[in-house]
Amino acid sequence: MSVADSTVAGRAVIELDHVSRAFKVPGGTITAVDGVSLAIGAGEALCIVGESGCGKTTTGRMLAGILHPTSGRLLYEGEDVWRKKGNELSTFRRAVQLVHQDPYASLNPTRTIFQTLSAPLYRHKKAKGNRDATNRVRHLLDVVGLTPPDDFLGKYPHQLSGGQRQRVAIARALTVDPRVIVADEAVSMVDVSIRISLLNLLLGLRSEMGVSIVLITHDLAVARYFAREGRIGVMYLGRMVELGHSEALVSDPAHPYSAALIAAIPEADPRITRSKERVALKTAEVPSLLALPPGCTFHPRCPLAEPGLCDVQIPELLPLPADTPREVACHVAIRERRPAAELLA
Amino acid sequence: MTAAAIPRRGDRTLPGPIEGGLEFLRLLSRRPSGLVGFAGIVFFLVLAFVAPIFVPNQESGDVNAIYQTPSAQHFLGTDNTGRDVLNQIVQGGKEIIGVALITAFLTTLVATVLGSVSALVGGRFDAALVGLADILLTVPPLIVLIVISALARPTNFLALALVLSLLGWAGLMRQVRAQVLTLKERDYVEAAKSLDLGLTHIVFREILPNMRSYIVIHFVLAMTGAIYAQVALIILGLVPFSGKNWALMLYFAQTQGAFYFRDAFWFVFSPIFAIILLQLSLVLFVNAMEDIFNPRLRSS
Repeated sequence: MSVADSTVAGRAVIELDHVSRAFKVPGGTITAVDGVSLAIGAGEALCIVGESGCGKTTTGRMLAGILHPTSGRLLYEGEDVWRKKGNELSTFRRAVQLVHQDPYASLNPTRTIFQTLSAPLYRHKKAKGNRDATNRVRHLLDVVGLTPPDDFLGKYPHQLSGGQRQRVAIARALTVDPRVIVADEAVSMVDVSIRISLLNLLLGLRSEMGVSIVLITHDLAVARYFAREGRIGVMYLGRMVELGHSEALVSDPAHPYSAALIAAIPEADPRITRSKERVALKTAEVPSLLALPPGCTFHPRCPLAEPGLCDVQIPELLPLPADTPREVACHVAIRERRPAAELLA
Repeated sequence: MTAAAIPRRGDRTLPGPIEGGLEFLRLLSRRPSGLVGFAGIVFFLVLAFVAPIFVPNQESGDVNAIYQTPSAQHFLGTDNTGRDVLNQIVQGGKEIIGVALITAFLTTLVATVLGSVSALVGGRFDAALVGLADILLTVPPLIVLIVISALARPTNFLALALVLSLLGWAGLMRQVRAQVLTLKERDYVEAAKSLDLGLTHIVFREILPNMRSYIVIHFVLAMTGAIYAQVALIILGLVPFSGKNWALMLYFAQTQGAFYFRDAFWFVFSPIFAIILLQLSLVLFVNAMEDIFNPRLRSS
């Protein structure tokens, strides 16, 4: 179990413990992430969803150890990462790999696929000599579905399609045998037709190699597909508002914001989409990050908001009594002991 | 899978010298003007550094044969002391091109190192270097060169190259710094950090290869700048050189009043044409550089 996230099953590999991250911008300070706690279990598939500006990317970058949190701790195997030095820090660095959103920017245009993939193998002594490295690179390309691998070794990134590049980026992450891969919108810039195959590739890595995958996305449909056996965390304006098993979260959202998001997913059948009941938000406008509303940041839009409670007190992420472990940050849902979906109906 | 498919060092990881050379010529031939420039540069390098080995230096002149027009004996005529002009052209390129090469090498090296370090270190160090570069960029270079030369009196070509390098690095340093500042934020650099590939790898394998065209183009442009600057300094008589040198030929032509003899045309214009053709070759070559370093145009 973990320190701050009660919804994770088993032992946590990496964990965010009440981390916040602020950025100085002209005109003030933006708190991109505010007191988020999240644990990633071994071999888990977890999705972080939210609209742009909700802090999901910042959270992912802090998970990967690329961004230093302003406050809070990042734990790897229960130890504070930012107190580590030298070898231990680089062990953590390699254990968590990031797959970037833009496959056109994440590969060095001057390096061939073989050069890109062999450099970490040589550096970390996972390959001896050219022949060994070539065989390992071939194997990696095979794993990520770039076959026949020999066709790709000497190619430059510009000779590949977006989906192929994203596969190379995943193969590059695999060179260091990571325990967690953080995929930041990794499928949102590739064609819809190959999105599913990339998601399946990531899920396959999870089941075959035991790698935990954290997928960050704005697309709830992608999250529902990807995390069908795992958890989904919903973020809104820097805070985690709901965290739990995706099945429960999708069928019975506990936070009014998640309820609104799920109600807005279009279905393939337009008749269902038209007849679906929407959650009527008070306003469609998202507050500025520079002037966050007091109390629950969702209260100006929330149909359940109660004056004197929601606009004053910041709700904590608390377990909502249910069959599956899940947490929600909503005063009303916690008090009524019922998910918001039921309260709104 | 056949054994032939195993990549050798030659064709996959690093191109060997022969493959690299052929690739270079293939890319260069995409622009005929670049090929012409390259041929010009090869011609002048051979003229300046190889030809003098076979052509003996002619020291003494012949007072009976001053300011001669081209003939079978003197292809480019003779000078004010009756020495062969072609002989001086052959002997006189070494110093000009040598100083240009040394100056370009020094300015490029200094600019690349300072620009990269400045961008990576940041803070006060960065601010100080940028300030210094800005000051150097605002002063008129020729005037400063004249003052420095007058004070330092560089008497050999290495000293002259050092003087020319003093002012030349600022422009490229700012360009390299700007490039490194954007390149170090790229996703692939972040990935390299998280793969723990080390700073040396990040600088020399991820960042610098993306600036190769900048650096090489600047190297060649620094050569052209160094050629003009040294010619100006020598013609003005600020660099007391002895020996044979295209700029020195012009200095003597000017001081000995060769401009007033119609038959001295060949003596005066030969070094001028040599300098112009060399500069033209360099500029044409530089224009083709962009193609050579673009990985998109490389065959694989």
